[in-house]
Amino acid sequence: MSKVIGIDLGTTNCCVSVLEGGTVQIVPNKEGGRTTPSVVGFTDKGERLVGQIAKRQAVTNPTNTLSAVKRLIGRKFDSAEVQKMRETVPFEIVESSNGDAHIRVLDRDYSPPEISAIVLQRLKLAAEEFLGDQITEAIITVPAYFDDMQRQATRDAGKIAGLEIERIINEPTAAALAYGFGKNKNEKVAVYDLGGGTFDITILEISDGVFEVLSTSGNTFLGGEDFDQRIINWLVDTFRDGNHINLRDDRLALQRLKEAAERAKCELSSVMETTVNLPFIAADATGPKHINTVLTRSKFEELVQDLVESSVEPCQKALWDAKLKPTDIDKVILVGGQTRSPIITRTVTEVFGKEASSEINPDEVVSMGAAIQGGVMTGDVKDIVLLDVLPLSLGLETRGGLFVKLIGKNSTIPLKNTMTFTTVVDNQQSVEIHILQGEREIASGNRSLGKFELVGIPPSPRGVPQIDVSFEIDANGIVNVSAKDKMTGLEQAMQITPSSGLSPDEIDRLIMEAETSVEKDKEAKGLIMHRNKLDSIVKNTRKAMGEFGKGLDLEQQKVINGLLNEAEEFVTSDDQMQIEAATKKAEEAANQLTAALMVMA
Amino acid sequence: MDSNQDQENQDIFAVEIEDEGSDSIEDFIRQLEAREKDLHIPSDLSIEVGDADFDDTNPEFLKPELSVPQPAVAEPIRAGNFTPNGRSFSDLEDEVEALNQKLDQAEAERAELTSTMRRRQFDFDNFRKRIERERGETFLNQLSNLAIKMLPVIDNMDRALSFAENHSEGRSGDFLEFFRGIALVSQQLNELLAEMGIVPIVAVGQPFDPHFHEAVAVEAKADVAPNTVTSELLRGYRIGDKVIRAAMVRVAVAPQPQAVSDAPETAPTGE
Repeated sequence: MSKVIGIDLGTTNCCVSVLEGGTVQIVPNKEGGRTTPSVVGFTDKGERLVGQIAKRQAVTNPTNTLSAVKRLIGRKFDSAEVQKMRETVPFEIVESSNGDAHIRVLDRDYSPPEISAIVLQRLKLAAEEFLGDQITEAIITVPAYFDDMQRQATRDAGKIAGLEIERIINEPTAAALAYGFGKNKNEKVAVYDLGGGTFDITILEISDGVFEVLSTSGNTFLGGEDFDQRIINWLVDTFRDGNHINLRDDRLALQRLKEAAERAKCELSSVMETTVNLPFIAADATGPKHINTVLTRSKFEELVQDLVESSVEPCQKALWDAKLKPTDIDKVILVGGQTRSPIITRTVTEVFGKEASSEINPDEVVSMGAAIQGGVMTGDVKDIVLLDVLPLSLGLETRGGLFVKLIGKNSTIPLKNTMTFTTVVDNQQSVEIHILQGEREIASGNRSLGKFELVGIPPSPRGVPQIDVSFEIDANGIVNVSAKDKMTGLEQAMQITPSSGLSPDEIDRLIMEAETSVEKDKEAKGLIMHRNKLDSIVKNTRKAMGEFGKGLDLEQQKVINGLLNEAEEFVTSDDQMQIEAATKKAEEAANQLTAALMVMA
Repeated sequence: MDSNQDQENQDIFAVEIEDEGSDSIEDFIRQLEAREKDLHIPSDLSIEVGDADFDDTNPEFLKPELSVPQPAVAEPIRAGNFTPNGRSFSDLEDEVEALNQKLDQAEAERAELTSTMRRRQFDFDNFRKRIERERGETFLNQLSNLAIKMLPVIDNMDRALSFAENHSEGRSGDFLEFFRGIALVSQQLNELLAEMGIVPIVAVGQPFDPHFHEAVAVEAKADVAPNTVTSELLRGYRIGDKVIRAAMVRVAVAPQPQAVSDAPETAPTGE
């Protein structure tokens, strides 16, 4: 009775949860954290580190430590987002043979889904350990604005990690599910999501199982970390004014400031003032210097005022795009840790004219919603039906490079639609069917999915031939496009399978690789356990020798100590065989000691 | 009962009833007389009254006669219009159908409940196992939670001591005594931690291991192997294999012309 886990695969952090006994449980990672940093590190020894541990070695291994890979997934190398990211990250982003953005690590190119798969694999293992059962299925969330390619790339990442992705759902939809929406009520919900590094606002209309995305807006470079930075800057500036020492040059001091700033920010969510207490933060000729400053909530709010303000405009734009007034919104949901700050809650309340909901932990709410959808899949949840919808419109390029929609966004799939087209010039014998996806009215602003030609149209004046173009989407999101000349019956068709840029063969190969890397990890874990065992036997025996060894005759002491010395050499070995052999020696020493003590007794 | 036969009887009665209305009284009497013949008991037949089952109030052989007026209500007879307890056959069929549906529904409900129950049982078993497993860790977790809160205090104590140590030259004897006293308090604190199983993570001179160390800076150094921890900026602690706080360290990299060098330290921090 396998579970379907819910995964919030975030830009900075991931969170996994699962439905257990009718309630959602957050799955902690191996280190005990409820969220896992979306960071992967490759060491020169061929190890793959994930999460907090990968983060810890980022400074020593910057070019092989990958973060925020979500910004690259399903994107072309020459897209604006990828080019912008290239300027800010220390790792190398390269163009793959099919134009996708890939990442070069230790002379090997990785597609973004492969990197995400490494994180997903770790999350899967944590869930398996938590549930004591194999996990093969998952629901993953993505931002509402992700197109088919980005969604498919996310799906592929799951596949590579050994997870069948039952559904890809929108993050705001998941948040709304966690709040219990989707139970036969018609409502409009605004989801305000201020995460670690990105800000998204989404307006949803929920009716009869369809969570329709009316509009989305946001800022991909605004997040909680900017808020921390404001406090750090303030502390540094205040300290410099008083002591003429610039703490920015001191890495340790900065690290301490960062932690203190984060703590102060969290505390100010519940109290009106907090004390930042950092003794011995620096020293000069006159003696040690300390920071002992009171930060009030109003000062903090003054520091971040403009950041908060900058989230207001996207909210208004989203309302405008959805053609709604603030009073049309039935509920506002807060997502992301930063929304705990009262200034955010207050601002959101002002914008939408109603109290925002934050009863559910905003760091976990998206993953919880995904787990609820997982429960729907297994039959544990019965009162919710979430229909699959097309995230973006599908259509054709027509005269003058205009885009004509055949299937509007948010249409529930599967479905089919046909539209009749005609020729532009006299005696035109062929038409090009260029299939695109997007919301822009200019075809070139949308994403091209493929094109084909219908040839052999009998010569006739323009506007006379009638060509029926049909779009049909099945439940798996596969689009069939056909064009038929009504007069001759000539037909031409094309199938578009959602693609992330990875071919099925490549995906299969990557799945294999991922599985072997899990084996390697297991081996590494085994090695550590063997080492620890050896270490503790040697230490315990030495301790016992120290206490009772004097009673033994010298020869015996020599033999035992000799064995222990030999064994101890391999405590740091990388060779399991050697460690095992050494462990035998150590055990032999322990046995001899015990035997000798027995004789003495 | 054979419905065809029933039909025949009915026809006969129907004729009789028709006759009743249209013919003369003589005819009627004649008919009655003819019927009386049917009632005639032949001489070779004797009636035994001794039979206990015999009911003389409504003798069996009189039944057809007695029931004559009843079917006279002349209702068209359909197959299946048999009516025990006054309910028609088709009503019963409907009822069977309804009962079958109810049964199916009940069975489906039962299957669903069983599956829900199994699922819950499964969840509960997992939950129980996990709680069992976690119970062992609870003590350690609480201890490390306490330690996480206490460590900054110990760090600051260390910073104070290290500062005093570096600036003790030319200080008065009183100060040095006071300093030694505080050093003893600090030692006491560290011993207390060790007693609880909380031990410092060895860092300096070790190969950098992100499982235990957090790199905050790198420095180019020729005299140590690359990837060796060169200095500890903040001590790390662990309980057994569980890291409470990773040691914040500086790590050596092979010196290169373009090597990233660490920013100059302005603070003499506890090392």
